[in-house]
Amino acid sequence: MQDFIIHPLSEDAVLIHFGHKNQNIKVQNAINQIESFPFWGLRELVPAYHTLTVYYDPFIVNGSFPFEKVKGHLENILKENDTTSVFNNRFIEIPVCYEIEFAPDLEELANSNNLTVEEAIHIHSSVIYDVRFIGFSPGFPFLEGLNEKLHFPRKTVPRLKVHQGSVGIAGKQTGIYSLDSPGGWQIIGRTPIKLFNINIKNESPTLLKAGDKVKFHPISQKDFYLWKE
Amino acid sequence: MGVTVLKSGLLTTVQDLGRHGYQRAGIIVSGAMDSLSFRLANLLVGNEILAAGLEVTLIGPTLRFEVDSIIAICGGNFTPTINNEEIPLNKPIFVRKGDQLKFGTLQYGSRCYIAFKGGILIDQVLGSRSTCLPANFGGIKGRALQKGDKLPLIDFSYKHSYKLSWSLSSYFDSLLFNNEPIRFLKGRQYYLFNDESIRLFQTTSYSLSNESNRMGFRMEGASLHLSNQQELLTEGVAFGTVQVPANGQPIILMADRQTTGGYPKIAQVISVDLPRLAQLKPGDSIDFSEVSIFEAQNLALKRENELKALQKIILAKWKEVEL
Repeated sequence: MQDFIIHPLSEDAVLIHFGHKNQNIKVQNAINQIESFPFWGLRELVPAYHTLTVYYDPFIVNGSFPFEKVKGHLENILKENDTTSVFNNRFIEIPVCYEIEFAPDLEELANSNNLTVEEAIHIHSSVIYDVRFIGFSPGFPFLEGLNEKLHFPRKTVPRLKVHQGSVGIAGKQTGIYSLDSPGGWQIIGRTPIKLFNINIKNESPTLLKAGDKVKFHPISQKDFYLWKE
Repeated sequence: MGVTVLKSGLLTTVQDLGRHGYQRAGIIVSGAMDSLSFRLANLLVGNEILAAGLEVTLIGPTLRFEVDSIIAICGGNFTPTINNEEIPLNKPIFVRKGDQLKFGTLQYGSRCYIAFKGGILIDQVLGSRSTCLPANFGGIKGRALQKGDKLPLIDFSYKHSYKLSWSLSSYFDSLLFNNEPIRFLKGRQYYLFNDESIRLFQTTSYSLSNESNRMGFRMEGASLHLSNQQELLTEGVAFGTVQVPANGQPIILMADRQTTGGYPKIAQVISVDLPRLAQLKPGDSIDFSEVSIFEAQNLALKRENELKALQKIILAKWKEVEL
């Protein structure tokens, strides 16, 4: 049975919707299936929590109605319920300094959730998170697995500048700002390591990718400043 | 060397048709805001589709040529001059070493594109020469042009400056500069908006806000709201996606958009209308009208075929020119 819906996003993209809850395993399976049997004109795949966006070139796909053709291709490719995907599951430890200088919102978050700052740090750094996808900005990981005790809504007024490396919480999500950018996530720490580096030749410019497992490792301010990659 | 930047203009960036294939790593596509004018300028000088050119915004730069080159300028009319003599848009122009290209009064549009024969010879980053302003890479040092920057070009050192006979018909300007409504497809969350919001979006005019840039065009007008306020999961967005944050004022995502977004999408501007949208200025009025995906793709295919036909004709003309 078909358990997804294909919507046109634009003239050169469709968005496959896999249900209302987090369906990340289905998204990862779909990526594997489409990459194993790519159709002519496929451009790129952009995964998110419960959706997969498929970009294509409508002039290469050809025919009078490329959307219908691509929809047909995808229904064919995805009709087998492939659950055999093997993930690479790299494990990466990320050093984070949770001290006040780098964690402007940690105290408020801890207080609101009836925790001490130390408890909040301990909870945040003792879980192994799954990188669901990279989005928003180059190398920004959307992580799943945040303990309920740390769930906290976004700031009502976003900051104009969040420093690169800032570790944030938004609702039940946690993530890391890969670049200086505006943002509304609650900031609870900062990592000295770079999540995005365009100058590394012949390597992926991003530290993390979907499927990776991540754990945060608390470090002192001194370690932060002395950190060498 | 090719060109020395004497004045930067307001926001002059190196662009091509964008950095595709890396959105999965969160890497922004970028590329020309008005891809039609960008492509036309490249076509006129006989460039291949991947050649990089300059996108000029609202106030033009002053450039000095250090080599003989051939250029074409398409899009908005900024009253371009060479050595203080006005030059036409939409046609290839011979430029000599020492010549200065300047821009004057903005007559219409908001962006123009300068194509140089042979393109701007800088290295590609992840398959594109486009400047990615939000992440500061690509183009010239990942930023807008500054005084003193140098753009490498091919030196044609030609003997004769031809009067080249061809120029674009006014058909393309009529596609870019008219007051027709901007056409859209229903967005994925269209039906989550309340009936009143859908009616207002379809029937009232919006104005382009001052806080618009290459990432997004913010609009001011009727406030749009969901029937039931709810938090959505982040998902893919595209060039032209119209999303509505909690304040109810729609934002159209443009060339430097983020790769994913979590606001509800009421609409998707169709691709053939994006160049026209990109030529609007803050304060300009925008009306929206709905079309189907079938119609939108038909329009896109027709536009593409027109450009391919034009390219054939121009390349044939270039074959007759001896530099």
